[in-house]
Amino acid sequence: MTKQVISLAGRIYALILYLYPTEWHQKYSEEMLLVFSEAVTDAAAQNSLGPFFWRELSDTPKAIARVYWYGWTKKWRKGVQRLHAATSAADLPPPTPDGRDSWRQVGWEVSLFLLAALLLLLATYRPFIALPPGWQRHMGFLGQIIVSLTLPIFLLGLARGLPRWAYPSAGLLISYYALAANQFGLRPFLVVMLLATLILALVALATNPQPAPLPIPLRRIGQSLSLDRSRLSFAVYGALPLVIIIAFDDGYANNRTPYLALAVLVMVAGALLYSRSRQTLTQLGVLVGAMSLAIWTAWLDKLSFAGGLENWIAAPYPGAADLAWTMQLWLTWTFLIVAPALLMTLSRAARPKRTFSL
Amino acid sequence: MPIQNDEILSFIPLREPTFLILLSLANGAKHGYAILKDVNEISQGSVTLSTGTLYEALARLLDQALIERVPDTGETDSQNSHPGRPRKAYRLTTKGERVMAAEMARLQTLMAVAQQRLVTEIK
Repeated sequence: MTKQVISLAGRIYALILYLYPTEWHQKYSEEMLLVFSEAVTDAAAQNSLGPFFWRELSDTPKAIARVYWYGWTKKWRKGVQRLHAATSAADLPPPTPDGRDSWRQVGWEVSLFLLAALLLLLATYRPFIALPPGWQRHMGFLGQIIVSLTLPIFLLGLARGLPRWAYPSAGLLISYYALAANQFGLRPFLVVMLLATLILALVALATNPQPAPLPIPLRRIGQSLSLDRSRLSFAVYGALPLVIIIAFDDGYANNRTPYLALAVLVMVAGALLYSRSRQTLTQLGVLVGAMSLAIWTAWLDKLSFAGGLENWIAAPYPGAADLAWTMQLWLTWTFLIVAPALLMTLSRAARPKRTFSL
Repeated sequence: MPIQNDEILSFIPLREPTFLILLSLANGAKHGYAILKDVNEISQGSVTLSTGTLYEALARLLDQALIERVPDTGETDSQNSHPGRPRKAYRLTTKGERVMAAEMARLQTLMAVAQQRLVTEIK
């Protein structure tokens, strides 16, 4: 009877061993089965088969889970190591200083916002610039201005290793194309293409056994990104001129209040304060604060009319729906500004560093 | 390649099963079942490893190069040897020995502090 139990237990354990990863199974299953047979025989001789089976039954699922977990974390660590090897900036020249150390750089970093502020003020408050009603939603018109303004700055920035002054231009350019894609129903296509590119790049990196360092221009971009955690957030903040245009989307009526002027002033002040801030939290606080003030100023603008006007495009009476729309806009951009900094923090945490002392 | 102190210290503190397995291998190579029995003996019956836990730990220690696999010469545990069956034994590497030494030093420091405090408390 005991022999039959031992034999049956061995067969069942042999089947359980198939739950381990294939590579593991090939390497250890025979040895494990041998140890199990010896252990079960000993347990039978000592009349302790019950506790033995209980221990094996309760421990095996945990052991299998740990084996899979160890395999996954090992792959992850290896991937991160490869990524760092491929993007190493050790042999690159030191990066350009940013606005924290140079007022000249502050000028460059704020220039896009100043220019956008000037254009917005002229378009809103100067009557001799005759823009057609609803220009705020005319993507072709906006595109001509935004692309001609930002693309040269962005390309120049790319050629110079993406210094911080190039980020807002990149943000404004990308957000314009994202908005255009959204308006033409291409958002799913854009998201899928971006995800596919990212996945393919990661797979290429992970499956390459001897990854060579990336080309210098790409590594300089990586070097620029790693200088501080808020740079991508600053790029997102670069989209603020477009966000202000969307938030103040009520045609000619904006020129009857000073709110748009206040919003663009806040936008420029936010960029200026960001440029001189040194702490990541302060930088994020400034960006989110300025963006919030700009968006909610638009809400005040709507409230101040509380009635229909000629060439009115938005809802004539700001109510719950309008408040919800503003809230959604604000939440979306708060998330977009904060998320890159969180991602950068996570990617830094994932760096391989296991050195601690007793 | 010389082993850096930081690398050795990165393994410290060891989990109890890991420590017991390494301790079991401290006096020579052993095969799986011999380790299982020895760990039980060292811990005076308080730790009985399952086969799965043992091999999960052995595989991790092999991967970390703290132990190595060697052919079993049959000297380790002749009573339970299976003639004709494939069997491998495991033994500590130099790195494994250094990790054990570092863990022992840590435990001894802790013990010394604990004893000192307990004696002061009793007085």
